[in-house]
Amino acid sequence: MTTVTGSNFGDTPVVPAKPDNYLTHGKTISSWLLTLDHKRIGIMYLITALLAFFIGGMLAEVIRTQLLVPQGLVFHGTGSVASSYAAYRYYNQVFTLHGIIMVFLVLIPIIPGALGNFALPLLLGAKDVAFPKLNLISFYLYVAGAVLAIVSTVLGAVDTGWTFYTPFSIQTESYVVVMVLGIFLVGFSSIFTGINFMVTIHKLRPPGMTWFRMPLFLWSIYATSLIQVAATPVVGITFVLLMMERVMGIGIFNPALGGNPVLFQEFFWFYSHPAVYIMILPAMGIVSEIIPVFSRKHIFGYEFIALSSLAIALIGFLVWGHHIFVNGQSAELDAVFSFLTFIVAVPSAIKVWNWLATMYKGAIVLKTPMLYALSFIVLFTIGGLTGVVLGALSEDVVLHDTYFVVGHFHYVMMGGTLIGFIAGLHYWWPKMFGRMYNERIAQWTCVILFIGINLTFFPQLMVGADGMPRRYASYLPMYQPYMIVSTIGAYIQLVAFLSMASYLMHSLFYGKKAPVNPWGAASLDWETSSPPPHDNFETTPSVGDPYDYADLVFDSGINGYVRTEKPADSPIPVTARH
Amino acid sequence: MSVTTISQILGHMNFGHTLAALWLPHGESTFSPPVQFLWDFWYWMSVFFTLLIVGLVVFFSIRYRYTKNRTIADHSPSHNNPLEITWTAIPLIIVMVMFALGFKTYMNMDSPPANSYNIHVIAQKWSWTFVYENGAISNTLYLPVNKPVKLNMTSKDVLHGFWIPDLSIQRDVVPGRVMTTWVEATHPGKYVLQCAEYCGDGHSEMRANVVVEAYPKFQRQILAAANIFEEDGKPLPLATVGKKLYTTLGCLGCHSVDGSKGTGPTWKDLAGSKEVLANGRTVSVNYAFLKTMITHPGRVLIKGFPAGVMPSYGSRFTGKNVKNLYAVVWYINSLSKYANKASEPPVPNLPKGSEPASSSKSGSAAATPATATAGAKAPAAAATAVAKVPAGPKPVPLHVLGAKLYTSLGCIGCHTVNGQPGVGPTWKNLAGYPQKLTNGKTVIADYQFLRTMIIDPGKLDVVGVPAGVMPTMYKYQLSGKKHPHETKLNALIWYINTLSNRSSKATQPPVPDVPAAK
Amino acid sequence: MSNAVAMTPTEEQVAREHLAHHFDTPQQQFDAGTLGMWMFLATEMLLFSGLFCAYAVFRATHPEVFRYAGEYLDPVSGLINALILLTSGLTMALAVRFAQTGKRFALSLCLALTMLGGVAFLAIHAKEYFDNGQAKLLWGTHYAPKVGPNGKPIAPIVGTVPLTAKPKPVTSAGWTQLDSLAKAGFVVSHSDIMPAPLGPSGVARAQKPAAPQNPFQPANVQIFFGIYFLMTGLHSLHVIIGIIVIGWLLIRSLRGEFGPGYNAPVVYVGMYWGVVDMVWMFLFPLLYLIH
Repeated sequence: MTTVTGSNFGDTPVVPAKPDNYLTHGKTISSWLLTLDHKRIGIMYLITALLAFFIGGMLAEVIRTQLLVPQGLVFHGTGSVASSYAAYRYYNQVFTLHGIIMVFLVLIPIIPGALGNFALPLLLGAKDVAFPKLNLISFYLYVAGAVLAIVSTVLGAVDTGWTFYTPFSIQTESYVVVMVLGIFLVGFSSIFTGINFMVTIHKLRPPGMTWFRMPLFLWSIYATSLIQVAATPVVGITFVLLMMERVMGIGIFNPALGGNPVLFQEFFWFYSHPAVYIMILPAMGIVSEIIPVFSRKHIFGYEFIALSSLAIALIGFLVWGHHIFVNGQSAELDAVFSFLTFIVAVPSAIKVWNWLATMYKGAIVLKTPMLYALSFIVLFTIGGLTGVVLGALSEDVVLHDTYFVVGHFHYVMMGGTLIGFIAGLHYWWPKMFGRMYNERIAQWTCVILFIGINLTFFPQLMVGADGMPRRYASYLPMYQPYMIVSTIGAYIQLVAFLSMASYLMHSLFYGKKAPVNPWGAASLDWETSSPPPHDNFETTPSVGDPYDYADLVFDSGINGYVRTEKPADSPIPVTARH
Repeated sequence: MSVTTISQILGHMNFGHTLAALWLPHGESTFSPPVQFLWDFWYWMSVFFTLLIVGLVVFFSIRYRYTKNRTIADHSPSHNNPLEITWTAIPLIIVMVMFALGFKTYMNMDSPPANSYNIHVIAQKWSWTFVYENGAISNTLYLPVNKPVKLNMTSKDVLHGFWIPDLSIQRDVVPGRVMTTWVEATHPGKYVLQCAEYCGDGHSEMRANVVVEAYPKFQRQILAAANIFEEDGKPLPLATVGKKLYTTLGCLGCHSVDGSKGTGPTWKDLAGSKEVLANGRTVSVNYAFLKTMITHPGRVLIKGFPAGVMPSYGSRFTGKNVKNLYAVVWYINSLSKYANKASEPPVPNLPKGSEPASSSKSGSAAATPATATAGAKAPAAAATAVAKVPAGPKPVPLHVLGAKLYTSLGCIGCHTVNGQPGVGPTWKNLAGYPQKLTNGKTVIADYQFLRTMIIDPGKLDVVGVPAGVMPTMYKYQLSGKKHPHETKLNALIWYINTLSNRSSKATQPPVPDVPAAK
Repeated sequence: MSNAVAMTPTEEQVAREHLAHHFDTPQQQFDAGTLGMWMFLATEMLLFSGLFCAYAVFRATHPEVFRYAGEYLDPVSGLINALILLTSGLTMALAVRFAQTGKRFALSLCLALTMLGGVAFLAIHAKEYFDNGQAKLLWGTHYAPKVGPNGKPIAPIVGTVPLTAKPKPVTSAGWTQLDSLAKAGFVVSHSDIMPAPLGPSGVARAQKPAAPQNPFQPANVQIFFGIYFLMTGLHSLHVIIGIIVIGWLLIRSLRGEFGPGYNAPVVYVGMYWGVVDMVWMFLFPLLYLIH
């Protein structure tokens, strides 16, 4: 490999002789496409997932526009009932694609794939993940899955909903097999990423970094990987069975052949409920990183946050049945699932209290990543509390499959995972590209997005409590006021995302050069240059407490933080204990 | 967005509905109070914790903000076990209380009382049908007040969700199973049942009205609903009944009546027209064809429409429910300008007892002025219509008539004439050939055999042919009192004979193929 | 890379050559690979576990189907296959040992024997599949065995097995309740979806079952064969993949690439083959020995 020096990522040279970094290390297309460097793979994940997010987001805007009027604004009939139904099929395809893209191509891979790949070895002080080739294979499995999803959509878009419930998914005349094969590949991408990260954390921790001195993001990625490895194979075999249903008529899930359609639901949610934690845990990890940095204070209750991640991962395996309380499984089983669902709510609450306690008496800097982290706390609180009521058996009966559920999981997924991802993106952006974005515009964008999300999803909670079922292309006129407010919220979100895309793109070319440590973080990822060199670290960094900010002082000359002295390899300060 | 769209939106808005609160609908069943109680508990708990957390976030962000003079955090511990245990225990206690309350109500929802009134709910794409203990069928769910009702629910196709927000009940309807739930409404009123489990194109329109009335009124309603063929004690024209069934049985989900495109063929100008089948044949849409399409949709498929989508209505149109079939076919006829004798059902549109003359003159009593006249004639006229067509000035050989009947009676659906396998045995080289029966005997397919096979298929089971598929209706269409000469039956058997190279006296009908000229 | 075998300086050199840049020591690299392989094999087990769950659910809800259909499978061929896989597991374990001790000829021989075992397994299994196909003992709508009036197959594939017990009629509370309603003269209709064996889109084609109603043959026997073909098919796919990978190892071993310094691929494939063997040890009793 050739070493290129003196070049810069943008077109304005900042320093005449700039040291080599991972972005400039190899300039050919193939040096990117065939790279084994975890940072480049992370960037490729970032670009692909953001592209998928753009498509999924546009579909969401179509959905919201359709629901402006009760009979449907975009897809509606020409008078007869039959023509309406034919038109509503397009709406069904749109919400199905929105769900599939957002869940399988955005929410599941975006934090582990993009931010996890980029930051995990840096946080460990390692040169790469344990299996770089497997890492690249993971990425291309993900791309192949996305391509198959597109192929399926072009051939005949699926209209099953992202849950693929049988027997509808066996009967519908669309390319379910191709779509499901795509998701199967994405699933294996997820499994391989999980294996890779777990082995990396187990085997590549540097000397001195014990389990309880790891940054909390690593704990959450570890818990996530555990779920990915243990749950994804089950959805893999479920989708294989669904393909067999359509191709061979194997009959396991088909009531017409003596099969059991509810079994599909059990299998599907055995994966898809833990998958919710695959999505939310890494976001919690990011928030756990950001809040102490921007509070300039040691994280509160490190062990509780770390172990609550594992608790969520493990209990999360035992609650899948709460998605199917009304499908006729025995009431005793429902009770067990309801009980465990309530239990799994507690570790999430513990995290929120600990984040708040970290802020207490801190020196809080409301920079963009912190604003997003605080948005996360508020939105996740609403999402979590609405989830609690869904876990109560008698309440689930009156809320199941209504817009209340839609509102709840959008608060968790959009307000939780996506806001967490955006927080992480803003946090690591200077490290990724070596450039700073416009802080003022970014802060305002965060505020607009926060308003947009609440305006979109809070009315959905209300209309759902009032009884409006989900996946409706048309609805009773009494629900319309809620739907209009929700749509306005979706448009506001669109404005915020367009603004975010503009200032981030702008920063790539015209942003101020980023210092090594712009936020004053104490974890190892900020010990290397921005952007990092190909091998991550010039010298192996020494491991300290990742949340000890005492030695870091702001240097206005470089607009970043520097260490006043080399931190001693000391345990967590005695004052923290008692 | 154009001005019209905005005014359209404003026109549809109902500002009377409050936007102010996150609240459940005012429940009207015995489940509603406990559900509402737990909801209230959760609601105020959530309001408290949300305000607490948002308040702390805002307060800390302002009180402990970073300034030029305050660049490092105040000294404070990073660890406090009693605190951790406290804020683990408090949420745990709250959720356990919620679990217990929810569980108690749910167990009640799961156990219907023994004295419940039974209603059978049939869900299908995309309609609800309710069958009551007295046999009444309705498209509106009638419920009595203060009497527990057990709902036994079946689905004909995919998953559906039985969901009445105002009565606080929901249950999925899973195909292949009987799902049960129960409800006891506490107040009379009109509510809406919506499908909650996604089920395809018409999911969002799969609604039904729910009418809760005092028990005596409820009984009168279901008695009235029991007889869709009458109104105020007077018989309705069948086409009008058919129009009702078009909605209640959910035909409207796929078939338009105005010519617009849907999942299934439009009913406008369908009866009496020519249609191309998926196998390339052209058939005229007569009564027998329509009947086959409705009762055994798997047998024939019109070109350009997906196979396997049309649900089998089976028993809803046969046996003692055959009047439903007549009604729907009359309705289809009323929509077509090609409607003719052959496409009309064998019974008149206006039942006996009403005055056919007056109704045909006024043309307003029936929804179908064009066909009401023809239909008002004696049933025999319609039944013999097909035989009359060939019997013009010149006598036509019976086997030619048989070839026509082959299509019009729907034999074409199962029997090929070119030796290809089908659901039933091919007619090519059938007559005169030995047939293996399931009782071990082998018989020659002679005239008697063929006749029995057609009009009494249950008597003989031929090896390799599925039992019970061949319809039994031909007995009444081709033989019996109304058909003393069995002309059409003989025509069919003559046609089968022409297809076999072993045709002989024994296999041919007792009448000559070419009737003597008049 | 077993610690039991001391490495010569040359072998140390070989080990260094195979060390990736982000690992510090060959031992760290080998341990990481082993851990990763174990995790991958765990996911493989979980892939099968979905099918085991389906098996458990259907066996619990349709015990008579499993008892009836299980008679059609030949336990002898299943047992022979189990013995073949056990033997090949032994040769694979020996191969790992010979790779670590650097005995190249013995390594190649053991790999070849393992492949042979895999092929023999597949051949016996293919014969079983073929017989099932002949007797139409297949899944879904393809299940159409010729059965006599006593419920026994007319041309059984494995001797004549007497049906040990009459299957219990399947009833459920809900249906009974509906039936009693019907007897009382009310209009009720069961779901029009007929049990089987009628086409995937069954709804529209619902008719009476093609096979004559037989009091001795329980309904939904095709479910068992669906599960049987899925489980054994997925397992056979793993055997095929195993044979291909062992073939690749054999080529590399003939080139003399493995020794005490570098043998990780042999170890990893050995682990994989062990899991494939183990899955059959579960499948065999579950499918062939139903009583």
